Amino acid sequence: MASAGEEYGPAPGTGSGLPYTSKLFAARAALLVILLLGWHWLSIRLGPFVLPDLLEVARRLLEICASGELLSMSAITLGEVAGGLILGGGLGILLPFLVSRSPRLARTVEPFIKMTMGVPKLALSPIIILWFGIGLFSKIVLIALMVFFMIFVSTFAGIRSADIKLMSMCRILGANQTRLTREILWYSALPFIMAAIKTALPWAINAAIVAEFLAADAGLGYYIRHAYDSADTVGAFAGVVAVTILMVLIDFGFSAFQKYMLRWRQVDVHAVH
Amino acid sequence: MTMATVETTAPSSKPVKLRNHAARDRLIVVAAWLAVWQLTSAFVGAQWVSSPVLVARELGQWAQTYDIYQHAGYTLLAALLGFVIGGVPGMLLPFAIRRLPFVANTLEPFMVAGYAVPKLALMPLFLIWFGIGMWSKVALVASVSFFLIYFNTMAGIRAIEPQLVRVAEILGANARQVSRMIVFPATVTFIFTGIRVSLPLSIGGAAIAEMFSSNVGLGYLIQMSATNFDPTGSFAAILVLAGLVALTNALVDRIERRVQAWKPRANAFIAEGIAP
Amino acid sequence: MTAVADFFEISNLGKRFPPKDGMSATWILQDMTFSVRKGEFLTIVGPSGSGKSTMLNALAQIDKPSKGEIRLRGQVISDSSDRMLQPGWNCEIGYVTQEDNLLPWRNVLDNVLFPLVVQGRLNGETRARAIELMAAVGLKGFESYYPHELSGGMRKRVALIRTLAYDPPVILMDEPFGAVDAQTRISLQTDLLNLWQTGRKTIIFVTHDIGEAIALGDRVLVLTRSPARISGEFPIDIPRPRSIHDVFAMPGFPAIYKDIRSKVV
Repeated sequence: MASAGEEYGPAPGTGSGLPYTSKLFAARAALLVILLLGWHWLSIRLGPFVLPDLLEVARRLLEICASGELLSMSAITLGEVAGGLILGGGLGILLPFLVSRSPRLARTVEPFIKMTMGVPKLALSPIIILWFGIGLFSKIVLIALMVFFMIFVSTFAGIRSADIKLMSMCRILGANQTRLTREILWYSALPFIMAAIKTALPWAINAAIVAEFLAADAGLGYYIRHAYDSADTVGAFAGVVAVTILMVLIDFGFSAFQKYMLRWRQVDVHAVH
Repeated sequence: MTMATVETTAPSSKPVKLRNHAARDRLIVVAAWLAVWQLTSAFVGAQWVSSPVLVARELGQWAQTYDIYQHAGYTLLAALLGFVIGGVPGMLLPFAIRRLPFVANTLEPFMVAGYAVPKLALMPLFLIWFGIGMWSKVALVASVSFFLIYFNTMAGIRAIEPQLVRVAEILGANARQVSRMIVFPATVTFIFTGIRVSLPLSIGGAAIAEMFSSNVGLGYLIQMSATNFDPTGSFAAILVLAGLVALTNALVDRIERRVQAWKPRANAFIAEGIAP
Repeated sequence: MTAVADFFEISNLGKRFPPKDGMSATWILQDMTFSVRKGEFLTIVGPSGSGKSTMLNALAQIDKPSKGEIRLRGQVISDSSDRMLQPGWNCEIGYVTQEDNLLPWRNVLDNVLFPLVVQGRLNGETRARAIELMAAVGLKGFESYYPHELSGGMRKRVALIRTLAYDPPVILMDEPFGAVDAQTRISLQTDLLNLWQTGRKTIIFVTHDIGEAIALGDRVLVLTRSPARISGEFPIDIPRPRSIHDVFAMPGFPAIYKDIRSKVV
């Protein structure tokens, strides 16, 4: 049994002699080549307006990379993401600790949080843009809203998952209430928090792009929109590719961070990913 | 797969008095929030934040004309179509490649990348490919649902105890029977989690697609009202959207309860949903 | 004037758990009365499921007694009234539980030092003592390992010296060597006796292994099945210091073993 992202299933004596990882790499590379060729062929058939040429997009991507434009745009978008994460994530982590001290408060608040989980926060973007303008701050608010609920729910579940026996043990060893909270509740919640942030990151980036798409004057999403509006499909695609690569990189980076923060855990294949 | 009609809910161990307190507390919270909203509106001005009274009035007006049903129906239809068109392949693919782990592993990074692509940024392309009508919105929703349901179903398949499958095979089941009688029921929980996450997102996605380019639908209403400095209209439309989400959630819950009668109900507050 | 003899007094201790789903409340402990002398090594034997852990939980103040009372040095520390529980009674009662209950996010050294840190007693001296204890049980070199990287036996040892590190006058032990292989168990028992002898602590040691109970204890109490009562008390005359390896061959051992065995139903 493997977790998402790892190889699933053993390769029982396939007999051809090559190690599994090499074969996998080859297969993925082959699939990538096929997809890229398919893209190229389609773009020729359908014309540059419908589907821009692969090579053109690659060239444009390198251009904006070299000119530093990519960096400055990414910085803006990522800045919004960071701001939203700090605001929404910070509150999302802090509040459950406060709320869990009063079971009555927790019970009261629970259904409301659950309710708002279903509401698509992105649908609030027009209102948020109305209130906070088209600058960075409105994006930060939107992302904070979106991220807050995700992280709140997970942190709360993490706090609830704290092992009572461990808490009794630490009381016997002399820990007082503050110590218990700081130590046990925090570390019990930590895996949940990490998993929630990992899930929230792509959503946050997506929200930033969507918000910039609808109304902005800077950032990657704005760049993509602007390209479309100027009938510059090549540029738009370059932007989309850039965002995708960014998301994958950030996901990768955070996985490494997550692994470090949770190095004391046994590798649990069923952990919330 | 038997469809039992008996619902299994954990016996409520809370004394009756406590339960009433909880309901009362929640009412207090709602009332307090409404009061704060109304007060804010008095201070800052209803043209900025609207107010509970205004929104309620707007909703009342809408309920009487037929426009809102058209808008809501449009959004819901786009969401459901997209959900099915994207979700069904997303659900079937893991089953198809269940016995081909190499294929599943090869696909993995592509699925992750596909999930990472911001689909709204492809909206202009969808417009070109599918026209400016509903189908571009359906395309957006489908592209999002596909990956979400794929990942959740895949997680379900991977969680199946290999022993169960092996035992079934020893007992003489062929591949199709194993799929149908062992794999599918075990995966159903994860599928439902995927549905529970995807459905609200589909509705939201349809609304957002409309914000980009549409002249009908709840998303269009939200966007247009905001642009016209009419937060009341926006809030009212958002409430209708939320109502749609709540309705579909309730429906999914009912269906799940019937399908999963044999399973104990999970804790309502545990974080749900899986995404890479 | 409290007799020097009675350090820890347990009177009519009873514990029952609330009724569940239509079943009536069951008494796990029923009228247990015994006392422990200062510096005594008391072992308690009973069949599995006889409520031994429940009793220790009550003594450690994790659970509230349903009836009866517990006194330490003549003062009531726990009874069935509404008083608040104080787990560990101000760090005077240590508890080595059956599961090691180590903090998974701390390495071995940090786990052992945890009680000292939390009680504000960590200094050069206490730290050195903790490190000595680690060496004494063979954990030198494993300071930076995380619990999940250790074997079950090693984790048990960490749990043991974690409690010994802060030197509580009373230590409760719940089958601490149960899930450990025979070799390790003998060496741990030897270590425990050494540490007890030098520190002269009061130890209440629960086990299902009669041989272990005789080998370690000054006195053996026998519990019945749930609802548990004390069904027998056996002073152990085997002289100290004892060698765990040889204690089974000592005269008197088979007789006592048979007596106790017959009481354990």
